[in-house]
Amino acid sequence: MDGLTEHDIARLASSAQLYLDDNTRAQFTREINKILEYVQVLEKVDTEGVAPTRHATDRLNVFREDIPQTPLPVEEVFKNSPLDDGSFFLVPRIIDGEENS
Amino acid sequence: MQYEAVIGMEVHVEINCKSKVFCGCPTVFDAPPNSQTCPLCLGMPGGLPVLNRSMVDKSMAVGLALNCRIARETRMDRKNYFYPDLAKNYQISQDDQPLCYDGYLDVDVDGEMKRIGITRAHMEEDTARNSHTVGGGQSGVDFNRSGVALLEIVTEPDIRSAQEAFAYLTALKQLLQYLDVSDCNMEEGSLRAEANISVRPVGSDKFGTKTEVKNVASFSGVQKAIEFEIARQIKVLNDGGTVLQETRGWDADKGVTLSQRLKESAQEYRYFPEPDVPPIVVDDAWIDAIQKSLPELPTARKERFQKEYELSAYDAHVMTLSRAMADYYEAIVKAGADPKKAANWLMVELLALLADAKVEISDSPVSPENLAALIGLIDTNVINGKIAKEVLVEMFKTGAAPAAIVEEKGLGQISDTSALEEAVQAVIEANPQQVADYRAGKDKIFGYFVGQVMKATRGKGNPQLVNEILRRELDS
Amino acid sequence: MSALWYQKTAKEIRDAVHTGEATALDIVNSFIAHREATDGTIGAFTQCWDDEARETARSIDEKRQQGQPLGPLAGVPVSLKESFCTRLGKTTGASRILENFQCPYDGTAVTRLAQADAVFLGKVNMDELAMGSSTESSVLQRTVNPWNHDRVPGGSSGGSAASVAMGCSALSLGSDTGSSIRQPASFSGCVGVKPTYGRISRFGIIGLAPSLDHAGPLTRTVEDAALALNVLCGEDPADSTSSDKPVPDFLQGLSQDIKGLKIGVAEEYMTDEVDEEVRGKITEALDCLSSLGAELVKISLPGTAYDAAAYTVISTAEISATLARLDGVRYGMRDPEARTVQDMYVMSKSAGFGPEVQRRILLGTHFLSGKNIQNCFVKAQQARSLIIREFEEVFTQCDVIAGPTTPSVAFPFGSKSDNPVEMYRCDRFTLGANLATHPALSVPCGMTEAGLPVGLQLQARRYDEETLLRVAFHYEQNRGFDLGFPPIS
Repeated sequence: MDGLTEHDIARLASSAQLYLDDNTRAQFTREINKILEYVQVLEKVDTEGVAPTRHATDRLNVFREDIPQTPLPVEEVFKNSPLDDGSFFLVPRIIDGEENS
Repeated sequence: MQYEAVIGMEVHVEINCKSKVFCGCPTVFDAPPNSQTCPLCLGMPGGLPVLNRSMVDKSMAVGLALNCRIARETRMDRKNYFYPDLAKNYQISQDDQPLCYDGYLDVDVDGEMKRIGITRAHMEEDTARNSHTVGGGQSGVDFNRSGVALLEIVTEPDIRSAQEAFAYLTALKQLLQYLDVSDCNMEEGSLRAEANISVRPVGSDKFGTKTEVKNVASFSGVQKAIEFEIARQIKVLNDGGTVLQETRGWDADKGVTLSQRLKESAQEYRYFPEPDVPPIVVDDAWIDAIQKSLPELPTARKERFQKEYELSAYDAHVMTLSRAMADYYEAIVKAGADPKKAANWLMVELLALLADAKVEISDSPVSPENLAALIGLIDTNVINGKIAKEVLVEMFKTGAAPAAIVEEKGLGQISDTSALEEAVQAVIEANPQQVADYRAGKDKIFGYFVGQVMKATRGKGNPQLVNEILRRELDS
Repeated sequence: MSALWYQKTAKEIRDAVHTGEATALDIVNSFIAHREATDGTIGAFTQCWDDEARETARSIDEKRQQGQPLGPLAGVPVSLKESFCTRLGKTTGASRILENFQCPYDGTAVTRLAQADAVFLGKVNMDELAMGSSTESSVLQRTVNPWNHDRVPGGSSGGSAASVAMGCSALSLGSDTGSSIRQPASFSGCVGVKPTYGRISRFGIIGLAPSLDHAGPLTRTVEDAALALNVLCGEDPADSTSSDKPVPDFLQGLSQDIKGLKIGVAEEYMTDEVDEEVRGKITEALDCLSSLGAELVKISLPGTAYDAAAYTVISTAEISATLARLDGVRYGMRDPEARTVQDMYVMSKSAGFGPEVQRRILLGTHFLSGKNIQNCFVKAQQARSLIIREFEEVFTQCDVIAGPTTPSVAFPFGSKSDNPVEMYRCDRFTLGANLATHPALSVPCGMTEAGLPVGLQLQARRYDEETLLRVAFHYEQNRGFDLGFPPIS
């Protein structure tokens, strides 16, 4: 694991939708590199052929039955909304083609 | 240079569970915006997903019907990206261990069977719906669709033309409807198709750069969009240009695809296993149970119809277009109608009425039992075929039983010999010249007398009896 | 006497309400009065629900008068960490981004406490979104260590620990992803239990790292913790990862002695890096256990060398995804100046999250990017498997592992908050139980010369809270001191 540059940190911030001012970026770069250095100890652990632990639960096949439940009343739905028109949550205009799926 | 197209399809189909895939919210289409939501599908803190069993069952049914292998151990994964329609800013989906993989679907392309490989079918949750109609420089988000059960079915790049793509979508929709796992309504968005299209010189085994075409609202739209895109790509290449890897949207009004987003590098989704949903382990018993629960699928049913009911290949094809149609057909037969007559009456008469009225066969006002009764009235000479068509129109309007309509309107066939003899006698007396001609050997004129008698009986004369009496009277 | 109900344990309070020795209202009033006298200095409470608490108390008293049965926590005053979702009040996670969030539902742990007739006094402070070990990263207020106001109470459940140690709540609900119940319990001088993963539903807790997050009680005695676990544990259909294993009566399990039980002592937990004074207290505790008939056995946990690294990778990766939902679209903070979707996200998150949260999100994003998924994230998950195996192996040699909860006692404010690695390091004895999911607790085992509590950490096999609590209970009964309450200044 090589260290991360400020440019790398900026790229990560962009992926995570965070804005970092110059000072913060420099500071995070230092701190994160320290942590990465510390995490390097993992490289020495022999994990050859070891199955990763993907879940902490020991349960399998936990399902619910397909029975509809009462949804949240509309006033509760919008109680915390920063911006809405009573029907829709409002966000700045989504530009066509940004659409993901 | 000669080019060939290489096409793979990605179909997202909403599975018709009564509740969402990870929460209990109802899934009724067209409910008021945000009225079918809860903390989980709104992505509030503390909400936890609990997988809907029915989604796994139905997805497995689709997989088995698509001849897929079923993963014995699988899991859900988080697909991370930011978008206002994504409540948690990650979608619970399946990454490298889809529930169903490695299958195929045989589709009929103009009478030729073509095998389309199915790469995978995986379970995921649908996103919310964005509305661009709210104005004020803003978009609205409706989370009713957020978390609705969604199955993504991906083909191998086996499709070579727009027509094949159309045939694949038709066959897939038919299959999904047979399985009763989705209403496959493209307009309501319960089935969404995207095509990955590239072209390459004929004979090449390399793939060209592909574009992804989205936003298509109908199968014929998909066909047109693919046709356009193939032509566009060939033109770009012939003009010495290069095809860019991008997402293109279909503009149905202009009939063109338009660039939406360049995919310079693959978007990074940072998939990792969803820790909130325990692993899924599928054993033989589960697969067997789903296999046993599968209905007879279109191809098998079509073959059986040809064999059991002696239908022509074409008739059997039409009778099995949809499960509703095939079920309706078999219900007519079960109610006692002759299989061939049943097919004719359904195909020719009822389907025309349904098409005119834009009514689905499942909503037909004429029940299969009533249609069988109508055929029975013809068979037993209560009415003739011509009257029967009128009765069917009335049945379609009112939903009434044919016997009741016949009785109420006095449409019953006249099989009373003396009444018909009277009518025949009157016609003979009124047409001395024609009688003379007939008796002088002008056989062809016989039809004229039949017509006159039918006219006199307002079409209700039993044709066989009318013929008999006329012959007897004229030949005597 | 009646004025001093706040000094009683949850069990004593519950019994008094059941028998009618005291009314729930008197008890609640005693706690409220004590909080009013002390919390101005301590700063544990972020929300006080005095009126609602009195109302609940009255309804419990009425129930008793009408001869209706009372729940196992009848009249017990409880505080809730800010990360527990409640319809009442706000659920802020001590973060700017959720400053005004009013949750439309109660989480399962909260519902279970309410059904047991507990009385909620309000919410208590924590590190922002449960990231931290000192409660310093809360945006709400500062909470001090009740024993020394210049020192941190621990974290992230610092408010829970301080409120219980101070006698301002008899029971507090906390959460523990790496240390967040046990470490503040150790720093502030109370009992904190992280049961087996899945024992307590996570439904309705602001999630952090779902494969590591645990809920649990902080109390003044082991018996109270057992009482609370009786109420809190059990399968929850709203949490697919909740355990369906039967839940024994933990209170009943306390009485049996601990003769012949094997107590594992790991050399990795008793190194020079552990403060000498802390080591001394732990040694005394081990001697006490030995004198009670338990057998001390030497064990080895070499995974301690890398469990913090594995924890860092797994937890930050999960955090980066789990917190992505805090985006200002459906709830939470949004900058009205945002003109594009991108601006909306960036402005909400950058202003809404403090530096510790941002740093962990960036780290987690890094560990899930490109080849790092395989090289870091999956590698850490593999290391986690080795750690699980190691504990399984060790638990064939002993019934319970004993050692210090933390290498040092509560540190002064500001001394570690700008050194993340140092901060992670002080969790290194507690992380193993989160990675391996077995139960662990911290119980006070003495005071340093400077008057700061030391915590003894005990760990047991998965689902064996009974043995864990039993050892802790017998130790507590025989440790030879009463921690008492911090002086009121």
